[in-house]
Amino acid sequence: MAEDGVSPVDLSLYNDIVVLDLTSSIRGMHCAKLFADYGAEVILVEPLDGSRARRIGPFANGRQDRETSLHFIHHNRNKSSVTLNLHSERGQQVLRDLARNADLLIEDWPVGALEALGLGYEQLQAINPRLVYCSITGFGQTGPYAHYKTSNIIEDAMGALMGITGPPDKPPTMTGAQQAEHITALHAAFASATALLYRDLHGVGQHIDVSAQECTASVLENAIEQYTYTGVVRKRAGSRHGTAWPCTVFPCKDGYIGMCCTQPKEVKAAVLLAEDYELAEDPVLANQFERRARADELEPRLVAGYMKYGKAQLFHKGQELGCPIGMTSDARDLATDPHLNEVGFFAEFQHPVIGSYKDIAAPVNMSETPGVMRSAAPTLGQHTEEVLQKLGLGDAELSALRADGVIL
Amino acid sequence: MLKDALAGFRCSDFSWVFAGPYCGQLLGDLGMEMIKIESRKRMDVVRMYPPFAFEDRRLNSSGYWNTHNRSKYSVNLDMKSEKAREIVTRLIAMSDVVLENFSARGMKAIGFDYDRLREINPRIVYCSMAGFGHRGPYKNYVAYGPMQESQAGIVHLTGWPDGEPSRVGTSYPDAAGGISAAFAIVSALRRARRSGQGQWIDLGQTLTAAALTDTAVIEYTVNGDVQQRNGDSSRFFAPHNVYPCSGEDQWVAISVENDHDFAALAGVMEQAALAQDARFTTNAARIQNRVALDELIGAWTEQYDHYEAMRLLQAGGVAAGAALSTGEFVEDEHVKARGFMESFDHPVVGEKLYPGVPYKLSETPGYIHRAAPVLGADTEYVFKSLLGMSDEEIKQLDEEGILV
Repeated sequence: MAEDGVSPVDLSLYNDIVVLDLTSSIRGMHCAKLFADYGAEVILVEPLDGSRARRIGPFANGRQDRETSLHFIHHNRNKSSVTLNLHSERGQQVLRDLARNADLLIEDWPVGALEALGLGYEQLQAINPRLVYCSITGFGQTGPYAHYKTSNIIEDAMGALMGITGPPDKPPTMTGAQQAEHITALHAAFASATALLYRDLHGVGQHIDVSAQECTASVLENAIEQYTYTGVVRKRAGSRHGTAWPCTVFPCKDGYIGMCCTQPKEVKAAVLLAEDYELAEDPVLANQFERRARADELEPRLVAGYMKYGKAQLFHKGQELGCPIGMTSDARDLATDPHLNEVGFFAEFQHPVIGSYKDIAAPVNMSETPGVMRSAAPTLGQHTEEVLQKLGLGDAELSALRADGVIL
Repeated sequence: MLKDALAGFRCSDFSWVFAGPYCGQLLGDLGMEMIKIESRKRMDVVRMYPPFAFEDRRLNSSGYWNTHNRSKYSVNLDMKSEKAREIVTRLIAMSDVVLENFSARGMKAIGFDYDRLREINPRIVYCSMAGFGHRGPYKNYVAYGPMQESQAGIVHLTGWPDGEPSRVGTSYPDAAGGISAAFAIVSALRRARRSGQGQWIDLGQTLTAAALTDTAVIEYTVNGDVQQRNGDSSRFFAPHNVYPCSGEDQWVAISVENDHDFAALAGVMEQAALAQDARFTTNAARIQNRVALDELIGAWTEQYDHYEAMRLLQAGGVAAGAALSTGEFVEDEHVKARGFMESFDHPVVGEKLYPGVPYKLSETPGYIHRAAPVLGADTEYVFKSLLGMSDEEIKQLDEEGILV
């Protein structure tokens, strides 16, 4: 907690850091957002017609304009917006001037595209050797697929996650809420934070080449090793865990629950929750391999018990019994969850166009440097003048840039 | 010699299963010295999780354990003994980070809650990873990744509209929590360098997963809409799906976000007229007629295997990717060209391939520093080299059953 005399600014992790955010995908925007949530000045650089993300739904109240994309608003809070035509020479010069004073640049452009504009790593490193430059692409900067186009479903597929997700009788199943993009963003943020620490210690920045395909394949738990150790290619098997049992998604009276038992006492709690007192005494429960092998036969007995109750009731009663159980929450369950609301998982934001709204805040509780929700997502070009004035540009120069189509 | 980004930083690592070890793997691969503390009496349960290199499932042969615990050292200490706690106190005094993913009661039970840790070392960055964190009404609820995924809202959004919700095919919240922890830890280390003060990172794995539900919450709070799962289609673009290919269970994912890319797709399919077909001329029309469109595309992809389809489409400027199996991923020419899979020799299982480091840092590249340690492998390094104990002292600890 804050000690007396320490201002809120001092509590921030990254209040000394300026980030240039040249991204419009989740893998980029979410990465930059983590720095913004912890106090960095994140300058989102948008083309004059706005980030591509502004054109992606859902839109507030179904009304589409460039300030109402909830997709954009969710991923860009706590950032500033500057419009800049990077395809003009003057725009490129302004970006170089911004990069001179920046600590971290995050980009998700096609491989080589920024370099072609004179804004690649080596070009900016020459004017600011301390710059950390993080490139986040589908397949990395090198290799035969470097220039491949991407999106979440492509990364789910090529990262070998999709092939092991979903029921066996359906096609490979995409992750809900774009997890390949999100997990890539998190890896990129870790690599960037590490490079900033190294920069502080040794005085040099570096180029980070993040591949969404590789980040996705990094989180497969043990599926790749199943192949490299035993030659077995894992198939889709629905929600059942390969080792633990019961560890799956079960139906209940008003929806679904998730459960994962790893120890005999937890297994017994799951069985007691189903009110199957005979099974609770069965010695099969004691051995993890034996009980997993009999999943087909045992699961209907559990489901018969769970179908009598609702998910919230099962969640709390199961946890009281010592069973690792969760509800299969939908958005309403999340937004109204007592735990999430009590621990500050959500924050209220004030947006100039869509008004006040509640959204997810920084999920990690850091005792000395909590995440701070300073502002909702910026409107297009909201901070162009302010940021460019700091570079020393006067009103006349701003007008000229505007007239020349360099800024909005 | 390769430079290490996190050289000179040390972590006392009490973590186990997947979330904490994944965090430690990321830190260790970038050069942090990870000292994993276990005991035969309470070893990391994943040491006995498949896949095993041998049919007898012998200790130290788990691929699951060996992949996520490379780049670490291992010592055994029976934390129930007072002497072990003294040793750990000395280790924490020499560490920059303490990492654990016990329940919220776990560290207190072994005598090392945050108050004690910062008494030992005020600069310590302590990262706890309890399922629901250390505050709030569910703080003592037991939680593992697969059920956290339900609670966090991701399961509800994954799967088919006409079927049950589905887990992602991995213990996803563990991975998401592990990488979130790694970001918080290096960020806190950087701040500790500036301020001289460590801190407690209270990470709840359910929360770090729930934070990845994208627009689900804001769509509910602003529009009142509760998002549902959509299988492989997007609410915002079409075509967006996986399409059958010639081989058994072979699929190619395709996503088209604008008219330009749709024209490119029609071109690759040699059906340029599709882009003029009134059913498909705009994204809105394509969404409305997605079933008919998916059938047309599927009839084309079926002629090719999934790699051929991907290459043809990407060459024509269309976002496409083969749904790779784990085996295809390992053998993939691009994955090989980038050197993503790394090989290392392990004293029990021998030479095997493992997923390496998913980002390349130009100055400090990151790599697998050492094979996952067999249980208690680094007694000598940690007790002699780090803590300065004599052979006699170590022998005595061993005889007293402290190093079990």
